[in-house]
Amino acid sequence: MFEFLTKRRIHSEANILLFTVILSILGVFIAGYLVYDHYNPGALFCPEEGLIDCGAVTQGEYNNIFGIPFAHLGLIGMVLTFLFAALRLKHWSRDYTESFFVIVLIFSFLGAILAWYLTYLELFVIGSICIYCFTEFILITVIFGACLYGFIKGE
Amino acid sequence: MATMRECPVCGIRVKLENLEGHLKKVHPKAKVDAVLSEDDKTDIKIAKKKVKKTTQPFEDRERKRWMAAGLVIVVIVVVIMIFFSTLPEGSPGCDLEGEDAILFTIGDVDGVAYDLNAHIGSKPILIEFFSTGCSACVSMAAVMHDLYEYYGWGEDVEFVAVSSSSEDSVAAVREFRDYVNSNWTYIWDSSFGLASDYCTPGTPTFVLIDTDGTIAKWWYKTRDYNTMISIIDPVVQG
Repeated sequence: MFEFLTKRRIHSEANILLFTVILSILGVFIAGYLVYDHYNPGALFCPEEGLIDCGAVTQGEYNNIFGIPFAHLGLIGMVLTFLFAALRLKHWSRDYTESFFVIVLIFSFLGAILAWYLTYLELFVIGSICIYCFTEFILITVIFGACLYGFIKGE
Repeated sequence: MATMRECPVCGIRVKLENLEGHLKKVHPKAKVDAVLSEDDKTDIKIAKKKVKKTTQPFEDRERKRWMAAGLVIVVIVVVIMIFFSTLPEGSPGCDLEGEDAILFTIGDVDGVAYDLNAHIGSKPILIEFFSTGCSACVSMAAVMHDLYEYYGWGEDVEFVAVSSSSEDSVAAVREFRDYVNSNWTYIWDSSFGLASDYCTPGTPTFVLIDTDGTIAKWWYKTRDYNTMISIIDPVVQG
């Protein structure tokens, strides 16, 4: 079963990984900013207009899952996504990097699930949106979509 | 999947692109040109080209598209974030800075009457409008503690916390005070009118009253420690 995953030829693998690296760099910075805000409440530049209220999300009771802050999970996920994608590109011809695309796909899938869950909480439970959290949601969803596209179109 | 071909000399199945190398190594006496047909040689060339391709990660034709797509998304995201983060904070609907403080006399959670007018004059008063159900207020507690210490444990700035929430009570506010381990004045406004008098759009909202009884500063939502000091210090230092 794992051979099916690791030996699969990915469509446009390098291009998708490059795309992933570009987006995940931005994701790392935003996630880092959110982690900074976690320890310094009110640090985010964020207006309170209409649905937007970053504090209600980042400082509220739903800012964590199983006791782990979403900000920390986001940062770890984005860093790992970036690392595996970059390592695969840098050491393309090494055998040990052959499975890295699948690892990136798995990380982005897990990240997308968490991001979708947080977005659901923002819209239907908290009633406010954090623009930085929403941006992370967009980034990880696009990364996952691109990786999934490459994986499915592969052979 | 790689194309396999039977070695014409020993019959072992070898990858097509490695066939020539196999013949030279394992069967050095066999003449490669005689053993392989023209079609075989063409197939080997094609297989080698395919192998060579996979060692080059980028296919130029698509690379620029993916890079452009990534950069466009990054730029759009950054522009949107800058746009939203530079929107003005929600305005109170009434501009209180410079106005006289709205006076009140309400009993604190220990039953002691707190008359704002009696406290005006010696030092600035920082009023925090909060509610016990406000998690942002809980997270601000650590900042408020540090500020209280910074301002001489109440010597330089007087701290007052007011809840005008109908969902609170004297007991709930007292419990909140004990939970966050604060030792300044905590009030539950049972008329629920004080928060609207001070135009609070939500909690926490801060009102800084100067020694002359005017509202020097008004701001809504959490701020970090250094930002709070940068707002309060100019008023304290006069």
